[in-house]
Amino acid sequence: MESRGMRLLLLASVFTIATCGLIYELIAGTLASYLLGDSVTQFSTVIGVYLFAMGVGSWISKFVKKDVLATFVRVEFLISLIGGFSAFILFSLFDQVASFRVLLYSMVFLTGSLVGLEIPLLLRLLKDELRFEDLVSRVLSLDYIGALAASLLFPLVLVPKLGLVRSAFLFGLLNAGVGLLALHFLRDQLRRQRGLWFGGLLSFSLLITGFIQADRLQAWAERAAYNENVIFAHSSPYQRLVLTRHRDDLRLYLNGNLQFSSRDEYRYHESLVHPVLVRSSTPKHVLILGGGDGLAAREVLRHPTVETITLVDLDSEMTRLFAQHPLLTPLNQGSLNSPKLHIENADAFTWLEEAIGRSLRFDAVIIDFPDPSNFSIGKLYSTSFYEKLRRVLRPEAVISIQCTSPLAARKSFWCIEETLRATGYGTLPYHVYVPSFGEWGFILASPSPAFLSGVTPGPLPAGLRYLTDETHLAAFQFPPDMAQLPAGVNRLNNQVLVRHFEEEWGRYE
Amino acid sequence: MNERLSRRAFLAGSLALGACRPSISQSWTGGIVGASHDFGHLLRQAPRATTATAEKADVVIVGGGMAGLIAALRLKQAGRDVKVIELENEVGGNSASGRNATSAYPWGAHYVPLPSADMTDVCALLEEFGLGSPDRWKEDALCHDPNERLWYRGRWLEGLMPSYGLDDAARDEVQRFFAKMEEFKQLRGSDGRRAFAIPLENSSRDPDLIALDQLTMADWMTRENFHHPDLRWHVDYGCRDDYGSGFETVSAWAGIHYYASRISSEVFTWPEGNGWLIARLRERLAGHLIPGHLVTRITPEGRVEAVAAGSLNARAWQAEAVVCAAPRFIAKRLIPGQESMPSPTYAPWMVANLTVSKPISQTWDNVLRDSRSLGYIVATHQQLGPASGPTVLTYYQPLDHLPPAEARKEALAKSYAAWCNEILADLSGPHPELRSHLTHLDVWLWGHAMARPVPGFLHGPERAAMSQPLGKIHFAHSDMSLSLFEEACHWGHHAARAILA
Repeated sequence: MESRGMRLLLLASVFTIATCGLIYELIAGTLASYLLGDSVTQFSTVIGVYLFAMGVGSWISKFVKKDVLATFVRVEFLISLIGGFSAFILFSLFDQVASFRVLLYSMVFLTGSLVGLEIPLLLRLLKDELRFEDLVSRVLSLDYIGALAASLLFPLVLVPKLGLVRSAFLFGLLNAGVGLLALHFLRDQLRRQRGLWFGGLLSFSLLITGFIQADRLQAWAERAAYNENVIFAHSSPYQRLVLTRHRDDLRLYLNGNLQFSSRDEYRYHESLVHPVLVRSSTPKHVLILGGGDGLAAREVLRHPTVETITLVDLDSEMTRLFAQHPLLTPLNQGSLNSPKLHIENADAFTWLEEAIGRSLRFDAVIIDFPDPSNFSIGKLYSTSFYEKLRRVLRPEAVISIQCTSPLAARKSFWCIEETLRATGYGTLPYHVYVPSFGEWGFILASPSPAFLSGVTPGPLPAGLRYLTDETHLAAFQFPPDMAQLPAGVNRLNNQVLVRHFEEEWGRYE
Repeated sequence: MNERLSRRAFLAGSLALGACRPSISQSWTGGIVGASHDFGHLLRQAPRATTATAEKADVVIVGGGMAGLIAALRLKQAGRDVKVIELENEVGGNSASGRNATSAYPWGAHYVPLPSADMTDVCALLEEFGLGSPDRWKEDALCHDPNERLWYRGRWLEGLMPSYGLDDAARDEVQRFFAKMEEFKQLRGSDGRRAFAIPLENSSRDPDLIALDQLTMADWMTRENFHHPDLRWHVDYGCRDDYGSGFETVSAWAGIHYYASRISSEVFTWPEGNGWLIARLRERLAGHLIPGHLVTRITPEGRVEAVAAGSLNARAWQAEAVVCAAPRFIAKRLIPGQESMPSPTYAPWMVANLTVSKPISQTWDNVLRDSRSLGYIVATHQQLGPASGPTVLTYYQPLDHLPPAEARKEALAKSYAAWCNEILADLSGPHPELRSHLTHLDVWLWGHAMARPVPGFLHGPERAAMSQPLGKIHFAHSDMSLSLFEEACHWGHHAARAILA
């Protein structure tokens, strides 16, 4: 009677174990495809490593000489923890570890070896209960049926209904359940059960907590992905704003992309603002497009001739945050509350068309848009945009544009330069090193093509931390690895810039 | 008469049913909208002379579609006094458009391919409308990138020709096909003219080329050993897109014309489609348009009779010249004794506009591979601001699964709910969530959307006869060649020039 019970229990375990094992493999493959792209490569490498690891696990099983049952129970609990937490761990560590692939394949290997260990141990547990031919036929057929169940459940039920993180926890619970049941029904055959019970119940409760809190854990994983303490997170209609702090370093992320780090943003903003303003003889009316953090405005306000600053930023949440938040106003020195500055929350393209109608004219324009990573933003770097911009510029006006990295995205950088020239602007490209960004590029441009080459820059304002006459002049030298190359003209109807940008930054992901 | 009443009763009945019993799952508004079928069908009765006293007129243009309006514009600019009589309450014809709180959107023609510099009439007109000139077209109105993608085997591919999963032989075949089309683009006939030109009238009459009008495009492809299903789908799609009929129906000459007549693949487009051009024409013709009037009779002597839509009051004009810019299936009922005048056959279409609460595509033209529809275009695509709000999708389906008359009958009998189900089922592959974002869906049925270039039509004697004037009546409509903006523009200019000569 007892042995029949044990037989049934152990055979049910085979089925559960097989299902769980395949689910972990599918989760790892899916996650790798989500996070790394190229699903064919991810799935085949994950499956390959997993199957190989199962082989290793099976081979290792021969070294388990005694306490086969206790080892089996321990393996169950270990799998339940590693497999159950796998999706959560991979999600939360994606951006944190130097090589995500090492972590991914280590976890796949570990899970695979433990799963590989399970079946041989089970076979040994059952070897006295069944004839060899029955044993092999039942265990292996249940194993394969379990695999079928998993492969059907995964795409049809688990991913759409539970999501990856919660599915992993659910199957972790099943594994732990098998271990606990074995522990309960076969308690007579085990000595020193207390440790096993403790481990099993601990695993089970951790997994239950994980299962219930999966949503919160996922949010936490997102936070962990920023590697810093999130002190503010908000989704505006246009973007997700996340502000983090690590010791004295404040960082702003928009849709996960770093916008500035308070440690070195002065390098970026001094370089964005002063070269353009010292080339405009007495800049009175300055336009800032983008730059809702007020950091460029802070630099503009160092120039006493400036009478008005018009700041156009799409996102009113962003400008409100940087005008009011007590952690942020010291950073921009309250620039957004300056009486000289007024904010217009509008899309820059639409705003320009309206400004042309209002006959607005500016002496200097500072363009601080996000990088051209999608078609909507790509339009703001097009010939059409620069043609409209020209109509709000005085003839002797100068503009500066942040233009992504000329080192990491050389074609993108020179594409913007070529686009400006194709629209009849004179250009003067330059670059500086911003540690948190890397080598970064800017372009000065003037609507009168000859103006920039003829103008002598005026003196830089006092109190700058990065720009001096020397660093200023050196910025205009381009070494061969960032030198100009033909990259095409970005037009609304071709959007070559977005394509260059995807290709070039794609290599860094 | 009976038939008309019963159809009206049927339509009214099905609308009322729809209103009383809104389906539980339907969370959007909308209905079947469209051309004035019933008012227009008054013409099924023989044209009867009215005794209304004729007003004196210089040039009367019957039909306010693209060809009629362009003829009117050119005549007006030449100092003539023009009157455009239009059946519907708005001019526009196949370039009709609508507008709601979200966006303007097209009901028919929705783009103009970038003309080459030798297409002088088209270039001049676009230039007058502020779109630039051949050396520098205005970028904002050119279709922004990305402009087309294909839903194929469960994923979106860039461009319309599937390029993955093709073996070498298939790839060679596709290359050979497009190389052949490139050859046709450059080819000139024995008379020195381009083999496939726009307007069609400028094409070569070389008998070797004209012979291509005698077989179907599908037969030509078989003859030339183009067998690959992906390629044949692509050509079939092209024919259905431009002519409303597949490659087994249209002539090889027409099918090749689709690929070989245009130098540029770029197009102008606007939220309201070619309705944008209609609006420019309407502005310039203010005071000269008489909408909401059904023309009942035109005589070669220049008398034009009409009835007003609401009051059914009869009016008549005695004109120096008449431009008949109505499609020929209508025109031949208007001119006494011309019922048997040569006329093409027409393809019926269904067009639907779907208002959705959030953007679902960054691409303008979204083509579905395994579908009877052509897919949809996005009305807000040309917006310069960030694409985050609601949008309107215009969904096109040529009804070419049956012969035109049967397809027309089937379409008119189909309920609004049935159309919705078909459209949403078709779009559920690429957009499984669409139903929950849908706020409004209107369906427009075009009974006679465009002339079908079946073998023998384009280069046969009947079409040649169609362009001959009849007394004071000059004809101008794209059904005299191909249903393209450029052809309407050509015939509009042609009629104006003939009157001014």
